[in-house]
Amino acid sequence: MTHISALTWFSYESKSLSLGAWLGLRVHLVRCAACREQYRRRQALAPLQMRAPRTWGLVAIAGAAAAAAVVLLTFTVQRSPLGDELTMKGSSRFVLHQVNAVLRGECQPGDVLQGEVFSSRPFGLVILLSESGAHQVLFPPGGNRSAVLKDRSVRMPNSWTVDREVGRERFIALFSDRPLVVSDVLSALVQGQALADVEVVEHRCTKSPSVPAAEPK
Amino acid sequence: MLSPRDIDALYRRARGAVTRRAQSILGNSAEAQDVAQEVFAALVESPEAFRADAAAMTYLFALATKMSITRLRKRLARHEAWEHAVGLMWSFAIPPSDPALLAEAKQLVSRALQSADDVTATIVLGHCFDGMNQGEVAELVGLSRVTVNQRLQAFRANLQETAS
Repeated sequence: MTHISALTWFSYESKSLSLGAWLGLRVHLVRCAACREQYRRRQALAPLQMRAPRTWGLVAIAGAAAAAAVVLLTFTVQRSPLGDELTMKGSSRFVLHQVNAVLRGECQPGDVLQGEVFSSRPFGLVILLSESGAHQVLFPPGGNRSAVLKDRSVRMPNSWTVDREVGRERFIALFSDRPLVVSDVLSALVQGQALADVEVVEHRCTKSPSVPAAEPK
Repeated sequence: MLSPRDIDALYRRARGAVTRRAQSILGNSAEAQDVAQEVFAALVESPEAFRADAAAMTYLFALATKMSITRLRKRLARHEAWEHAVGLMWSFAIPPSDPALLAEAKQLVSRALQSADDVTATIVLGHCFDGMNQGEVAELVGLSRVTVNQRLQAFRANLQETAS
């Protein structure tokens, strides 16, 4: 018996099979225990649809009046020098997703972002820090201490809407073997002090006004 | 060439499937999410790279496979844990019931991932691991069935020569 190939699974999961092929796959699943087992294993993989969780906008932490009509954001990801030398080569990850849209590295006001952290370390904390020094704890939402990472990969429960404030923002994820207190972390961040045995991954976000295209002559 | 609207539609429809494809090769969700983002970022950056005569989903599958293999190679070049990584991959496949065929398939896949060029690695993966027929593999890599078969046999023969 020929089993369902990886390409056919891919087409099935992206809803690209013809009706005939779809029916054929479903009939095959009834008859083939091995493929039913494979179907079951695939359900444990990443979800096919990214569900947009409850959204609330970022608090206007910049405090400045709204500026340009259109704001572009560019994200750069780096391992922060705030982590010590050993942790600079760590394997923890902090991924930003653009919910239900293509992530282009540039965003528009109104786009919805969600984060996912991945680490073998037991404690995680994500802070948003603006140029003015204002901050917001994104994970755990509004908390004053790091969260316990029960699973190696955790999708942050909240999402946030990109606003129009120009300037720079830092999305800073910290991973450690010991609990972290937000006030201690903020003190270190503001003073640029290294945090011993803490992995730090940043998305640096630059929001700048767009330059209108020149009118054709 | 794909328009921005086409890419958005593809993203909504196939992001999950692309992530699963990457996860079946890489073995973890975080790297799979990275690869999925890279796949669609590549489409945005180079929409002209999409061949109009190829099915969009086949193209996405091929791109996800290629990027996942590249990511796996980078990771394992540092840690040298090929056997473990390949073993994890097989949990997402239906292995041949014959132990000798299974052993050969695992060896071919492992060697192809380690040392073959991207096209040959995709051919070997498609034939030995993904359960694809020659027609599907040929469409995936953009070659004729005859050429696919020749490359597969050449790789197999080379592996046997190296072993003896």
